[in-house]
Amino acid sequence: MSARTILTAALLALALPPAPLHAQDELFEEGNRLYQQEDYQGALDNYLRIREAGFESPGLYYNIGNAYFKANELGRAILYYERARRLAPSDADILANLELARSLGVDEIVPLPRFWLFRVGSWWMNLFPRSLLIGLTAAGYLMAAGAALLLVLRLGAASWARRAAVAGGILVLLLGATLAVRETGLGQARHGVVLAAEVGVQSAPSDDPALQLFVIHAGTRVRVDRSSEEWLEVVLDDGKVGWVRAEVLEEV
Amino acid sequence: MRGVRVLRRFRVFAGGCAPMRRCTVCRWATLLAAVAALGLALAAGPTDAAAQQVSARAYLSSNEVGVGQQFVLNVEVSGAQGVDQDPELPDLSSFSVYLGSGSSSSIQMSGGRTNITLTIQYRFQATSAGTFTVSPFEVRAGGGAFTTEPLTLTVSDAPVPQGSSAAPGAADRGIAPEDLFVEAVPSRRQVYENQPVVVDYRIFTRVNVSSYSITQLPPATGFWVEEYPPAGNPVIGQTVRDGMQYTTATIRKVALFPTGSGTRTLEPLGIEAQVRVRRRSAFDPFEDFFGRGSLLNSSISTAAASRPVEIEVLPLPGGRPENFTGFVGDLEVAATLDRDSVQVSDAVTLTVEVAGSGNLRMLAEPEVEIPPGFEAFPPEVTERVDRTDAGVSGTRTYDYVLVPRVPGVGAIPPVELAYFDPERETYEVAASGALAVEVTGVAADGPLGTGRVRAGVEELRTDIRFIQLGRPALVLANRTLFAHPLFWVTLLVPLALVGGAAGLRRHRDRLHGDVAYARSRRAAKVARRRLAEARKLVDGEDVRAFYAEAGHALEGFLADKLNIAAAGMIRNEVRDRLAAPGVDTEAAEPYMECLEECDRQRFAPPTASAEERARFLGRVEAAMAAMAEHLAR
Repeated sequence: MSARTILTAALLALALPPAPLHAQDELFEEGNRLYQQEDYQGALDNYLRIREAGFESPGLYYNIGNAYFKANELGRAILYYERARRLAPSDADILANLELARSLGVDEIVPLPRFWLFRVGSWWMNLFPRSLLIGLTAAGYLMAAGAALLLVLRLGAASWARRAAVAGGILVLLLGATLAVRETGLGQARHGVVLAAEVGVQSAPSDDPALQLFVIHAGTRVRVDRSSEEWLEVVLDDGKVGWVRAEVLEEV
Repeated sequence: MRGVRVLRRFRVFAGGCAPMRRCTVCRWATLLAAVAALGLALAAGPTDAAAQQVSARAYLSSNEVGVGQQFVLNVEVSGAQGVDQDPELPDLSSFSVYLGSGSSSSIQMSGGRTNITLTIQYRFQATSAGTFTVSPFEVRAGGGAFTTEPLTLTVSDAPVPQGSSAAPGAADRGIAPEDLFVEAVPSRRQVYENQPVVVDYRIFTRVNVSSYSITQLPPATGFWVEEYPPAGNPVIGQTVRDGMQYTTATIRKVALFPTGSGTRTLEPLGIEAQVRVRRRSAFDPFEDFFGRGSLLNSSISTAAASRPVEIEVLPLPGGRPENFTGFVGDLEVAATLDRDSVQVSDAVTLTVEVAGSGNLRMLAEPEVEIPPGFEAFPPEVTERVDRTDAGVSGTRTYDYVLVPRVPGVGAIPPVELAYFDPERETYEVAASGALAVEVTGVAADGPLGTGRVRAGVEELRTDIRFIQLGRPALVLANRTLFAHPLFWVTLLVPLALVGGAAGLRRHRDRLHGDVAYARSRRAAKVARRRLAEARKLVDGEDVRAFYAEAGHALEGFLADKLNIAAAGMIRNEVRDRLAAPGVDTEAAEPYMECLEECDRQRFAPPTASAEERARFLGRVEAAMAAMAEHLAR
């Protein structure tokens, strides 16, 4: 087999979605149909099978969140909205439902104000959906490469090619760095959502009731800072810190 | 000489004029008394006023009164002309109503001694039955402080005849409670919420009342009060009550609208009246002297108060209409437009007139449905209220200015007002007729040009947004971009392309600028062409031509590679080049052999067979390949 045939086969494999994806799409559509018939448990079964097959998408998580919400499982609904938000940080529907679900939670937590530079950074990091970011970066890269190709081969107007190369290069540097940070999860905290109805937060990894600091409820989002065997050190949005058992929450 | 001479002058003031803050009248009266006393004292001979002892005591006019009757709390200070400070009375409001106060002073001369006595009288009306104690209080007079004894008062349900001996003050006045009293006469004893009770406060008198003033207005707790304007001169009537003829007059008239259900009490109204009386004392020298018109005795003051009256207020029955706003009484609604047709943007006035009896001031604005396409301004409200014996009635007029913005017919549905009719004990709805106005002209520009009134979108309930439909664009979970082959393809293919392009560019540049490079790169191609020519001659007759062509190919290839002129190439030079140090003999030897073979065959008899020539061509190609490989090193 020559190198060319291998390349062709690889490109074909990439261009066509893998066969199992069709089956997942059907599951998704069946789930949507059941959801519209208000069979939320049935819809959930379908959605979660897609998830078990190892696939994800913001839309899938969003629909799972909606189905859990309708099935009155607020904690899990918030968990899946958070997961959807991780993939599509600025999707208006996801944010609206997440906010509504949070407002129905028991705990009202006023977040600590953040340093403005972090706010700007976070805003920039979450500005683009993942696919758009990838597309823009790729477009910038291809533009820069194409312009470089023209420059090297002395084809076309050199001035325009140079401008295109510089513009593409800047785009790649800016968006590529953002994409790399997002893809590697650099500097991103682990978050979890409380699923148990009521959780006592301890001052140390111990069940001793005397060490209980405060109580949080299902649906509250926490940051996971440290973990020791069965215990997690969690930080609330308002800065309160304590330990909970690992099974009471699920990481986003 | 008589042992005791009494000089007494009453000073009367209503409520506010206390002994210390003396008004002009009081001061004048005191002066008069002092002058009179001085004259008498001089006539009586030497006195010893300075040695007089100051003392104070309190006593009640009577220890037993009936509910609604008056009693007087007297504070008597002897040996001083006034008190240093108004005494602070204990709180008697649990069983009585304070009516007013007055004071009198008297100077007695007895056995060469002068006694000055000041009596302050506080008048109360008993309101509830039982036995009560007036706790001790302090009186400051003449530089000393005196504490009074506790006093006991029994208030009985039945009226107690008040003997003149029990109350020294009342004895002098000679006014019995049945001679002068006030009565509150409600129009009804049982009403619905918001149904008016007209209360007539009447004064009943058998004595000559020269004037009166209201000292205590009852608090109107639980009522909305509509006061009737006081008549300039009270209408005097004659009434026979308990076999006695009374002169009556209305002193106050109000309409009370109870604001809630339950039992309400009309609190007492207190008055202070000036009554002209004739002294009956046989020992009064002034009466003898001045006759009937005695300056000191012609008029005295008395107080009276009405008895509390209970009113039962019934709650409104159930089954209220939806638009009922609490109006009780009787209503009529009429709506009129000042014209039937109007131009766009011209104003038309809608007048809604609500007439009826009841608490019109509290009437809620009727809901007028403004037709779409009309701009409406807040109504101008005018009100006319008539107070009659039956209650309060009147009209309330709402003028709405409507400005049409679109042509068409604007229909105004009937204006409806629900009310409760206490006579029939049913809820009624008063409605006006439906109205319509024709609007002509062209629709006006502006926010209302569409005929719709803009309003915010009302949120009926909150719910999550709907699920995402369509393809979910699934990707493998937990796989970063770097794990995706397409990422690497996209990253590397352009890099490879640019790299290739750079190589190509370098190659072209050398072709253009470097003759040796160009010849060297061309050498193989030229040689191949010559060898192809030679191959055509393998089977041919001309053996010499074959070898000549092969020789050219060999010579040309080497000349191109070494960048020397092929035409002038001397075989020895080529040989020297090939034999030069650094040239591998393994490559040079076969090449030289081929060259020599060509030379030999070109000039020797043409004996080489076709097979031999073909074999030779193979050797040439091999030698060339070896040489190219050697030179490329």
